[in-house]
Amino acid sequence: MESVIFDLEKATVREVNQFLHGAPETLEGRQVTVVSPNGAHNLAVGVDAPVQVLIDGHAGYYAGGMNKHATIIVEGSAGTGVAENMMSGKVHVKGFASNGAGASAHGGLLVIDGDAGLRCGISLKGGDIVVGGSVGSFSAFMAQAGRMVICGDAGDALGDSLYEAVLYVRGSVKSLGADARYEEMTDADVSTVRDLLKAAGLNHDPMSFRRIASARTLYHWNADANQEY
Amino acid sequence: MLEPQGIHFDTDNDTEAACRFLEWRLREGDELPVALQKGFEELDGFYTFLMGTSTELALIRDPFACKPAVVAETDDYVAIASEFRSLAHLPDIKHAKVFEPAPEEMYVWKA
Repeated sequence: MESVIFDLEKATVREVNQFLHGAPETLEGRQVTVVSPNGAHNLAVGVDAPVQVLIDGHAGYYAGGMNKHATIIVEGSAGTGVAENMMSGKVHVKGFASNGAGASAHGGLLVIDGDAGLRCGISLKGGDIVVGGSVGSFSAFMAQAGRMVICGDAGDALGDSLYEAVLYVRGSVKSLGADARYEEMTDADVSTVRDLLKAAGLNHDPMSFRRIASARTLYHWNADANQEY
Repeated sequence: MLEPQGIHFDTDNDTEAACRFLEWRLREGDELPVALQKGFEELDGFYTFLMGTSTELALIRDPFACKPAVVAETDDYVAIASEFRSLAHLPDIKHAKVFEPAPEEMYVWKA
């Protein structure tokens, strides 16, 4: 099927998004390219069709937010909240991503080839995130479900108040957050990391990752803790 | 801590407090990085600061990095804005090194 090109020097973000919100059967399998995105916000948000979107440059805030079914590729960097609340599909950022990447994603796969800023995967609800570089502080804060693979380093308070999301880190971790702990890598963990790296197109030894999960000590109120955690 | 030293404020704005603090440290003879380090230690809040002296330009963000910042660097210029949109039409931006400054790190450019 023919490719559709939007040039944001002429077209508006609304025109792009309205096209992408067309009937799923008319979009299925199509390639939509956005040239000169110039850091525009809200590009390709709320897509609900198996369409391929190429953002040929830097994206602004919330690129690919709420994505369902689509494959969205950002050739440059992405601003705050890329793929936030994604439901399914894939968002691939080839540069770096700013704060709150993949925040509260319910499903799908977010791949960031470069570094991610602070609070990556905050409140993750079932999506998968693979970061080729490092993540900033407070990443995976209160992450409830899903998996996060960090090929580089992590900042402070990684996995603070984690629920059932599981993190895999290859590099150094500046500090773990409250209730996050290192656990043994099982065979299932190794195969999970291998599969996610493969899906992200990254080549690392899955055995070189460490598993971080919740110690579950915050699941129940502890009156004796005197609010000290 | 500044008013008792006779430092006058024109506004109630917290940004002025940071400016006056750093201005005071520079006036007391601190090098810019030393003044900025003291800023990291004393200032409690969310900020991204861009500061210029006659010879240097400095960029810092607080440890939480809530306030946005993005940098584009080429051989000819360094451009700083809160988001890429503002830098998108600069000359040769396609070949610029674009990055997001890390929290609690000093970026200092000399003239």
